[in-house]
Amino acid sequence: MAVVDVSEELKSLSSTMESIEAVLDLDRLRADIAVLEEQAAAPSLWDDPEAAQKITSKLSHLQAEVRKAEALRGRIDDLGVLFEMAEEEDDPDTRAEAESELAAVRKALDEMEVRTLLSGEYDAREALVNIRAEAGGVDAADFAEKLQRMYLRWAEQHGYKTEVYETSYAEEAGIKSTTFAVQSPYAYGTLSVEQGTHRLVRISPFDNQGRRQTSFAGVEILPVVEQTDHIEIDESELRVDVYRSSGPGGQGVNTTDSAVRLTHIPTGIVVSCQNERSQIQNKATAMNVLQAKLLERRRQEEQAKMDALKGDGGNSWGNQMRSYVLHPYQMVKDLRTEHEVGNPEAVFNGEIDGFLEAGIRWRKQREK
Amino acid sequence: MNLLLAEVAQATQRLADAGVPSPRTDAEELAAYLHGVKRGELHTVPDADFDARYWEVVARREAREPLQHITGRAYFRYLELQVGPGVFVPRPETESVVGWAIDAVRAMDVVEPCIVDLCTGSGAIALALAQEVPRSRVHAVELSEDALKWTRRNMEGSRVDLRQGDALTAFPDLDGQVDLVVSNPPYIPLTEWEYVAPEARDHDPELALFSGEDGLDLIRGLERTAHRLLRPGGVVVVEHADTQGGQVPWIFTEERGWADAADHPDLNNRPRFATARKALP
Repeated sequence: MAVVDVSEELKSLSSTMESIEAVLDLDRLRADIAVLEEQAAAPSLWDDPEAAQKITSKLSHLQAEVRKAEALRGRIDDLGVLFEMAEEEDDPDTRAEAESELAAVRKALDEMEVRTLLSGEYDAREALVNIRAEAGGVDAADFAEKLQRMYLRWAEQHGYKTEVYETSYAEEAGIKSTTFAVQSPYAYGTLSVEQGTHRLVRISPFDNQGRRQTSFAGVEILPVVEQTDHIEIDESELRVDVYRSSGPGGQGVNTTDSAVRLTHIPTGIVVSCQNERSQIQNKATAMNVLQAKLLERRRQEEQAKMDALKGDGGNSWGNQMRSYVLHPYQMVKDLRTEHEVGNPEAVFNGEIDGFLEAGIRWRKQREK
Repeated sequence: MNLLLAEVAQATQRLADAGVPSPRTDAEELAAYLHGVKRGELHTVPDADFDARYWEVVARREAREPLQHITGRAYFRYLELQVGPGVFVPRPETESVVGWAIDAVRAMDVVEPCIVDLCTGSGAIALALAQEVPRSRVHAVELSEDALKWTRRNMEGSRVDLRQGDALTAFPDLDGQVDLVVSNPPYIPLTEWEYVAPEARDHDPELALFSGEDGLDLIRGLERTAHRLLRPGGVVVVEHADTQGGQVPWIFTEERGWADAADHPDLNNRPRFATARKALP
């Protein structure tokens, strides 16, 4: 690469960085951090653990954001020096080092740019992920479990806290459904592009004749509801189901299962929670999930109205979105973005950032 | 799947084979307890942190030792209680009973409601009311010295007034002043003995489970106690067995000075508790 190309490249990186910094508004972020730090230092902070948790989580998220931007800016500046050194010393090793750092910085910059594309009304929220096995029998149940693990691993690799509210296990293997929370800012904006039907093609390990089997699982991503969303639920419209012992209940049975299932009668929406420690707490968390589902429903209705106004009936968003092919060849491919990788194993282990990034860019493009 | 979840799946099978009613719940709760996480966080435990003592606690549960005796903890509404041999382990159905009681006290609109919990056991009902009804003055009584060891631990630092003694003669100083009397007295009919699950029969104190042939001996006595303690207009709430929904409200009759006697189901729609209001003079 000629020297002039490198300096052009560095200039372009620097200008991309500038526009990211402008969108992030680092000065405002630093001011927000100062306010949050003050709140986090208040002696009364933990009087309200829920509020305290929100403050500290937001604070660490913003701090990480600013640190990331500052570190990236530093690396871009250092790159120039590195290339100069390589030029002056005419040293191929330094030159190679500079080249690889350039590639790494470009990648990091792309990732950061994606974050600036998350500007939807609910994008900054935490997310609820709901996965259901669909057509395909035991393979679908196994696939649903693999997807659950994929998202949990992805979250773990990014240091995001997760909590599984409910898992319904299938008879032979895998799961019928699961609901879990990804408790990190922007989890909703980032994961929402995963919504839709996922498809798996492989030689079924459950088929004793070793036939190829196609199975499906549905992924639903919801933003966590906040008070300001005004999703109110009338208790009289709820059916509450709890674990029913075979005996008489009460003192005669030591019931340990405190899971609660709620059915919202007007909409038929069913949610459950088993993660909390008592019935009343499970009910409260199930209510949060139900609120998130009702909010999503309201948004879909509004969206349908908008589409009708625009005459845009062909919104395929939310239908089949990704294929995981393990046989006869190995490939994971998004049907909307056409992003693909040849290593399904890595994807199932949580390496989905490429898909998320492509999905977010694709969505932004469509909005224009 | 991490190692812990794989072990939990195996333990679930073992507990199911041992006849444990909700094997997956118990296998997960034991794993969560031993690894210091919530049930929904089991997937976050690194394989290297798997604690092999898991199989010891699973074996104890297999032998039908109550889950709560193994963990030493019982959860009730928003409370975490210490429990073990000698004290009755709170049941989820009683959460609904307390829910009704809380609504009843709130509806009274009394500034500092006076509440009495008879046969408090671990203290679950009294502590939940103290926690969830602001400015309530809660009094509780328990007879068994073995149970009281646990009650005292759970009530340490709370504002509940705990006394030892017989529920029937308790709190003479509160006669006619109480807004709400609540109780989960022993109510299993002796005739039902064989249907009682081993966790309860072999590990909950007998005193907390049985009360005469039809299970109603103590409730009949508590009717008088409640009437003595309550102010006119005050309310009594008593838990009972699913077979007693037709009988218990009839203990709180108009002739004995009660009004609005009614029976209520639990969340499984089984008759679970009776309520009545002390008649105005």
